[in-house]
Amino acid sequence: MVAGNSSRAAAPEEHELSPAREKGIGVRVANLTVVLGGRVVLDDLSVDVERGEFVTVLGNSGCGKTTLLRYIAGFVPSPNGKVWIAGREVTEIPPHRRNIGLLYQNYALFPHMAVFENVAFGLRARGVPTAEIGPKVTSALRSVRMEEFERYRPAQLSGGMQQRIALARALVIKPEILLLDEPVSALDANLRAAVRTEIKLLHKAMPELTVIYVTHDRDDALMLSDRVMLLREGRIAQMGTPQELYDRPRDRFVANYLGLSNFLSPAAIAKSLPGLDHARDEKDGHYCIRPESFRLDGGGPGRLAGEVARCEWHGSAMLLAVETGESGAETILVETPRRGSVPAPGDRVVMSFSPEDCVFVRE
Amino acid sequence: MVGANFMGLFAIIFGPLIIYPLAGLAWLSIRTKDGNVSLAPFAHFFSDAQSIAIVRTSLEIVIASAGLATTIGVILAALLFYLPFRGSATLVRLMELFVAFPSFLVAFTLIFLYGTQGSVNVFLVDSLHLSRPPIDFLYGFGGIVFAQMIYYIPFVVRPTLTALTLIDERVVEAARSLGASPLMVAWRVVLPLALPGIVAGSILCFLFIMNEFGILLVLGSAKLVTLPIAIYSAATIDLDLQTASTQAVVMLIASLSVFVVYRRVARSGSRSHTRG
Repeated sequence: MVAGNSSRAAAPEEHELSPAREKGIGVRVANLTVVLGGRVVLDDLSVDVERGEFVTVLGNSGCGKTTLLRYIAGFVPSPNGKVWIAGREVTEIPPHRRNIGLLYQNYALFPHMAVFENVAFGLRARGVPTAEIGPKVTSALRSVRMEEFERYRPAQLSGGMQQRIALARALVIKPEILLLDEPVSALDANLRAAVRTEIKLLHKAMPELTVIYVTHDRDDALMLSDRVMLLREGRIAQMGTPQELYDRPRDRFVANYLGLSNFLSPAAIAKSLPGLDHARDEKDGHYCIRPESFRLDGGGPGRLAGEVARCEWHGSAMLLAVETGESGAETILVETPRRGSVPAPGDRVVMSFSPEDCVFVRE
Repeated sequence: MVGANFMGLFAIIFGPLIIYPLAGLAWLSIRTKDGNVSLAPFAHFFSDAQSIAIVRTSLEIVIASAGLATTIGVILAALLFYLPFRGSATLVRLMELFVAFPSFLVAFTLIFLYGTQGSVNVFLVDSLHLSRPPIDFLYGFGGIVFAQMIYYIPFVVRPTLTALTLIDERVVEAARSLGASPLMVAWRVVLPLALPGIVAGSILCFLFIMNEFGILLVLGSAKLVTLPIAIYSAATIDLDLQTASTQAVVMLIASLSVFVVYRRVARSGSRSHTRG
């Protein structure tokens, strides 16, 4: 598993396919640079995704995540990039012969065709005999619980229904990979969770299917993925399991993207937790501690005292902003469960933490 | 109240300008020479061999010109949209400018190029040492259809380009990802989605060509008499206002019918896009 911008990660020969590994490759992208309208959208990006893996491409708008997806699908040219799908190099192969499933945020159903014809489209394109199309379409629609809506036009259905039709349409052709571009972003919160679960279950049912899921939403990434690729300005900021990115962020950008963070200077850490590696300099970076890693019951060796400035109600937990007066750790965010008495603004609290919750991150 | 006032103002302004003359025209067309009101002029119009010949000529010219303008216009629009080249945007803008010119200018331009004394003919006669100008199609069916086609192509290109622009690029990409060849994408996805726009453009083109006057006057009024030309000569040369007004009413009803069809198609097109 190689992931990284090859300038720092891999020599070019590492991307030569060895026959032994070929079978395990779901998608491989090598040395991909894309320049659109004079702007470098993707900068020498290389990544390997295993067959059957669920990888989320996470990042802000304009980071290049959709361009990466569209490159894999064959809609974006690159002067030097190369791409393999299921062990076959497809760099020069047009989109309609790449055997991919594609799902867009706006569903992109054919508005002039009924649901049945939408799902049958890929089968007709592949020359599947007419007699086989009916049963295949029906079973694909059943798998997304939409078999009763065969004769409806897309415009007559809700957003969630349309997205399920689009999913059936993409999967009925048995693609090697499924590419999803913000598939749930247009849906409201409850529906989003439901479709997310549906995608997760579908992937479980098709363990051979490689999935690349583009999103700006860290919840999508944390809940769905085997691995997350966080993109920043056309380069991989970090790639790893959701837990790795959350618990061991490489730099401040990654730490912030995956969730709320406190950044404490090495000097402040040295003062509140004697014994941790203090050799670090503030210019190199800070220690990142997640709000939920602090405890108010004095359970850990590290200690910081301060006064509660704000309380935010988050339903299942409270988020406190604590002013410490310590240089390099002025305001600390603490997430505390609602059990017992919850501090109010003006209360003085002692926050404790453990050395394993402190992660040194670069700027 | 405001609505009523507005309607009143509307009647005062447009009454004398449009409604009164049109009513007068209709009245003139159903009043026989002996002062009775009768539909006989219309019965005569539709049974008279000469007027049937005029209608047939008109239809032949309209169908040929509008058909060619639509076919070439759609192909041109598709090329401009899918294979843009440096300067294609300028070309589209020039084409739109073309719409602002009076149509008979095109006829004159063609005479200037392909007429008996036109530069192309002069060049060919000089360089090939011919005794007669080799290009001689302008003053007749071919020339009229050619000129009308040239002039009305932009009227099809513009709405077709708009229709193509309105198609969601993602829908086209989805079709390709599902394995559709470019030909299948064009036939099953792009054409059906652009069709309302194309049909609206071609109907409008049909309507304009039906009412075309300038090109015919310059290139073919002597040999080919269409309905507008017939109305013109009946009214100003033969001074037969009765025949002219009957023909004009027929013309008016035909134009309005085509316009109603156009409105319906244009509306269904915009609806399918907002729903899609």
